[in-house]
Amino acid sequence: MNKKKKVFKWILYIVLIGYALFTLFPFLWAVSASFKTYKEITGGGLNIIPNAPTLHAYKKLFTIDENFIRWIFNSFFICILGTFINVFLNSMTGYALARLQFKGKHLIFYAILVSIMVPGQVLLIPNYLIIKTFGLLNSYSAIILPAAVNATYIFMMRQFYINFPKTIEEAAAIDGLGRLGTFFRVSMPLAKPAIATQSVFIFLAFWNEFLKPKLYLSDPSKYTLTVGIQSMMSRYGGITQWDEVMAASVISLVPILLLYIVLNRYFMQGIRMDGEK
Amino acid sequence: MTRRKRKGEVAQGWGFVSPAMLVIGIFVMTSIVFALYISFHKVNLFTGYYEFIGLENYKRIFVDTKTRIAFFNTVGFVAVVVPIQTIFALIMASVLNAKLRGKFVFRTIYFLPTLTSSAALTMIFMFLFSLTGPINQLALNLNILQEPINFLNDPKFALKVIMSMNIWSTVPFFMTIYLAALQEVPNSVYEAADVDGATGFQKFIHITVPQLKPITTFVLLMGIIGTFQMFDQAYIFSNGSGGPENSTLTVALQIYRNAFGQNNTMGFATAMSIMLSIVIFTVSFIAQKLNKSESLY
Amino acid sequence: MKKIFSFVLMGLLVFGVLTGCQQPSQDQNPSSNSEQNESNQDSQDTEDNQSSLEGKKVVVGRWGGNDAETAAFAEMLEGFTNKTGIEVEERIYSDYNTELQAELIGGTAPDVFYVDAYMAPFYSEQGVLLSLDPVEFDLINFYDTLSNAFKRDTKYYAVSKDYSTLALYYNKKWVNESDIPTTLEDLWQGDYLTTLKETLPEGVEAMTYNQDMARNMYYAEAGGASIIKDDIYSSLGDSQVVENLRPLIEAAKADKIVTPQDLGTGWNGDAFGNEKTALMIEGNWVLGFMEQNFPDVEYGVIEIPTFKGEKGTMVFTVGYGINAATKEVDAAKAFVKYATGTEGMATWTTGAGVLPSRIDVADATKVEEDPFKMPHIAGAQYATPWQKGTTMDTINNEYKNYIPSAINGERTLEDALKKAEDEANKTIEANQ
Repeated sequence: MNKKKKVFKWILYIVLIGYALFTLFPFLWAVSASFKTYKEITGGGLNIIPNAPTLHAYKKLFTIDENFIRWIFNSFFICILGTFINVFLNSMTGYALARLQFKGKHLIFYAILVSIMVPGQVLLIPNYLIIKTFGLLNSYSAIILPAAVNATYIFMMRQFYINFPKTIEEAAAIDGLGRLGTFFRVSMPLAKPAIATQSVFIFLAFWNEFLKPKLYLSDPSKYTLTVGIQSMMSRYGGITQWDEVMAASVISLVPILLLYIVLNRYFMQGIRMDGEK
Repeated sequence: MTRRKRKGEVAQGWGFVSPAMLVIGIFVMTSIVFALYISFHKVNLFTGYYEFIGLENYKRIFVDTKTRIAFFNTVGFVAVVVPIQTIFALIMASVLNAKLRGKFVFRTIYFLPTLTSSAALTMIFMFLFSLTGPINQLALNLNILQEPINFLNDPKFALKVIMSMNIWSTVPFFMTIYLAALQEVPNSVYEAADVDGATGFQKFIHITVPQLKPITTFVLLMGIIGTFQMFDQAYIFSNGSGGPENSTLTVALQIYRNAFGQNNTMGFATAMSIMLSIVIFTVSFIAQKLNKSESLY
Repeated sequence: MKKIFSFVLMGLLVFGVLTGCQQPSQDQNPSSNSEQNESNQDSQDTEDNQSSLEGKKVVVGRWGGNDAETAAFAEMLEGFTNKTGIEVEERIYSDYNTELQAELIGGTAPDVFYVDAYMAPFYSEQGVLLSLDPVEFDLINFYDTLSNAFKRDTKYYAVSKDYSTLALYYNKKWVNESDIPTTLEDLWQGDYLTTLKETLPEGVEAMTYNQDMARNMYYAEAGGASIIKDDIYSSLGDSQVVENLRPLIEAAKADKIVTPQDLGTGWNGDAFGNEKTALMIEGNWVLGFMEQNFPDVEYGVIEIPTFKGEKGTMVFTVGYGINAATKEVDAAKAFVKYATGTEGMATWTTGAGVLPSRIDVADATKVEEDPFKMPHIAGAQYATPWQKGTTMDTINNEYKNYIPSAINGERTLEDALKKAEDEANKTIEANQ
């Protein structure tokens, strides 16, 4: 290896590490803040190691409501079910929009795009009225059904499948697989990186969704973890109890971080079959 | 034969998209239609009062000074944030895709901003940029500044702080998507380039960028939609007021302020939303065209 | 081209479905309820009617509080259920305005809910609140300021459950109570703050303040000035208002006072608790906050110094309102009567550590004996309520928008306030 290349590599590492610190710092600060006292958080110290570590905020959160364990269960139930339905439907729709020729395709594609272009604030009340009309208030269906597909990831999957080598599918068709068979046996498995990416972000969205579940669910035992914690947390004269907020955000990010690490290996598995194309 | 295949494909196509269309049709399109209906009326949703006023709400958008300010703020925000976040995400993704030690660790670390709650993030940034905060301290110590800058309360800087915050928190999302897309680029293409003695930079420009075009379309459009609708950071930052001097007033904040709270101007708020959607659609359309025609070969 | 066409087609499609949509939306709101309200107005006193209410259920909407508040609320509910046999279901809001508005429009709102005085004019104007009889709800025993905060025209729309006023807080480590000037003019225009600052450690400011009408209105309106004209329009540019605000702005320009944000803190309480400021003007919610988060800081509380020779402060109050569309009018009334009656209010205010809106409860619970609360209670007599019609949001927003430019010297105070007035009035005009 020549000298120039080596120097370049070193510079690259320095940049990478610099950027890593830049992203890591606020995150670590937030995590460490959850172990600090309120006084230390608001005192403005940038230290990552708490001066006097405390589990006070966590203790408070875990005992915030008798339904706490129930909330965790609800969250996982909604997130896992919701993510599965989404990955399946989004991929299918994105695939059809990218690969199949049929009338009305462009209209559908633009309808899907438009559905994410209208700002959500004015749709909140119409949404509420629709959910109410269908009698879905206070049920998990109110959370899962309207979010059963996600326009953003339909769009993403479409863009992924556009680039897909056609040859693989043609080979599958020759093998006698029908369209559905080709999709499930060939196209889905080959899009692993896209599907893993999609899963993480959809799970994240379900997990963090706050306003809608809060609005649709009135029975506290049905709350998700995010909704439960946030609604029980003290709102004392509009004062944000930062230690509790930080602890709550740490609790909520643990499952997603784990999911990301687990799915990480799929991010790098693609159709890099050499000799193809 | 081909005709039959075509017919089959139409049925297959509709079959594949119908579940999604059903959900979007019922839960999103209906709401949009309702919003559209409201936008032509003077409404009071509480009392069920609807008075048809034609385009009045839309006309107001063009004469309302606050809306104009909000619009230009938002456009400025989009113009700065979208190119930076896209280019940054693309570069970071292709670097992480190269043969590197500790890729896994870097990838996980770079993902973290996605998980940092926006309330916590806003608090950290407001502290960092405050009058007595570390950034001013550092700049004073290094003699870059003679006097501390009131980043948060100075109309010249407030929006820029939000921009940097937004870029910081959105890059990982797009980077992750680019990274997934890069897995689709066959190794053989890069290997062929290696044989030709191409440098890393040449490979980036001539292989990576063109190969990722469909995904760049996605990233650009999502960036455009997200920034045009930017709400929560501006809301937390300014306590909902859009100040100082309207400098952090975005269209989405203006919509929220008119839809909820003391103002009972849902009709105007929905008209603004519809107009914003049209603007987003137009800009997305142009961006997509530009991205497609731009030939880098 | 093809794509543009499909977009147009989409638009047409969307229009086509329009008619189908207007029907349900109209059915779902509590429209013509006003007639029903009137007839419910003079329903019998619940005391005589208790047996018939037994086993009924009311839903009460509120926002969450701290531990003490949650416990006190639960205790009060228990007392109510024991006495009347009416069951209570709680609904806790996080984004109160958004959630409650959606529920009111959807017809699913609680029977009784918290009403912030600030939002009371809006909700009563929308006809979603039942009007309440002052005699039936014993309003004579309340501080007038507090019961009137929920009054529109001649009717009352909610009953105050507790209140907060502003007072001056000082850190005992650095400040002698007797040294604090007795007028705001002296405090801001004299050299007390400058001298104080010289004695303070590096990085500690003498005093923090807020650029917010919710905190500034009592002196902005001193001496009979008004920040509102013709009921809805802003008159911030009024020469008397300008002169009233001048001492504050001049002090801010001279860096005698700073905002908590300048210090990198979210609000006065954080700056004061972390001992970054020696003085602040804050509400009594600070008391519980300091006890929980900064138990070591020694501080004192006094009434706010006079301005233009008069005492002044702000008062913030929240009340219980009854949903005009409720099917349980009698049970809802019974709840409000209990919660704002002598018994319920005593349970609530002593448990939660808040100030009772009823004078008789204040006397009975001896809350005035608390030296920290006393200055706040004294304020209830002369305070300006934070409630002024349905346009205050717009007026205050423009105030917050332009006041920084008066402080950094970009505009004169007159120009900044005039600009704030004009901008607000443009919006208000267009909203009519």
